[in-house]
Amino acid sequence: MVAIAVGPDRPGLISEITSVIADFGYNIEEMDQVVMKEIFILALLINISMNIGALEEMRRKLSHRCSELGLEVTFYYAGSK
Amino acid sequence: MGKDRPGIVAAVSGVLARFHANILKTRAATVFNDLFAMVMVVETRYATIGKAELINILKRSCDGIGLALAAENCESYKCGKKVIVFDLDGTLIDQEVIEELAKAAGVGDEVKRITKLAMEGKMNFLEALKERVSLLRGLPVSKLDEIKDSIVITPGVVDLIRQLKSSGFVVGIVTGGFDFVAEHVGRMIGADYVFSNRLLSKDGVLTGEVEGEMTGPEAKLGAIRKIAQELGVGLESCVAVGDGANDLFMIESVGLGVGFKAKLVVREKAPALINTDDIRVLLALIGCINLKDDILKRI
Repeated sequence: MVAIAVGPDRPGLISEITSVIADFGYNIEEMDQVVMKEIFILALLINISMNIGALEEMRRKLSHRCSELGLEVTFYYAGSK
Repeated sequence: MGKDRPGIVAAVSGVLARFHANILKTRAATVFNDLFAMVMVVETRYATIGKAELINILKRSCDGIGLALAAENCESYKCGKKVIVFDLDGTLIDQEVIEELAKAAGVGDEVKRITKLAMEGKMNFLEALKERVSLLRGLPVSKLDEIKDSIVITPGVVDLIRQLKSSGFVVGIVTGGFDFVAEHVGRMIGADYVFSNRLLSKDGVLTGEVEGEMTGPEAKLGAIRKIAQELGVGLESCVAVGDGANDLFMIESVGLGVGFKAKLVVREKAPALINTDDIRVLLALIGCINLKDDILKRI
């Protein structure tokens, strides 16, 4: 699964987001992040195969956490939303 | 860098977040199927603690979870590394040669005690060297060859040096140890430079004296300066790898100083720490691993 999060930058965003993923035991296989004009842009490739059952709950928690942080998050699976 | 598993990004970014250090850029990927490599550009200007303290805390956290870490200034990171020098005893080879000599001379325990003090920085290096060598007086020179033949090179080192040289690195050995082993190891691994000391002998036995250019406290750094000067590069283009207190000068002065399975005093001060035998970790930390090969394998 690919997750993209975008929003105003501040310290702590990566920690907040990745700790949700780590709490579920999912592994980040690839990550790119950049700050452009104070806008934080994060792309994560997350391996979800080890715990498919918890995926919906993780997505819900991650969406919730991102909205608290003022970020928009979108999830993609193999080419589609 | 470390063995891939869930939680690495969270752990590292968690430390940075706790002290309000801002991550400006990240590139991270799993390489070679089982290693996780992550490079972060971090702004410390608004952090709640100083940069040196932050690096120390980060280093300790990474060490605690089995990750190797290198913290470099942007300018130093940007400049390509050209030279890499290694300490000998405890780094390129598993033995402390002087302890092998001492065993042969029957003064093993006494020398071991002094070596330990010197490596931990509790005793002046030169004083410790002279004192230990004086205990070797009367040892037949023939014993040196026996010891030379028993030297075991740290697993992976030959491979590591080959890869470094094929990436264009100039490789040096800088040791407060002795030429009969250093030159031998230098030949075996293909080092371009070897700096070491010489045991003096007379009538086939050691006199208990030592001479050479590697006897001062800043000798290792001086040797790196010489190599850098000859190649026309600055210290920021040099990497230094070592484990003991006498390596600290060079580790703190070059572009990237690496503590390799280092003693406590080095672990506290080295900007980069590696505690694994996996040589790919060192190659990746100094930006020498060819990620393209790995990516090509996956597409």
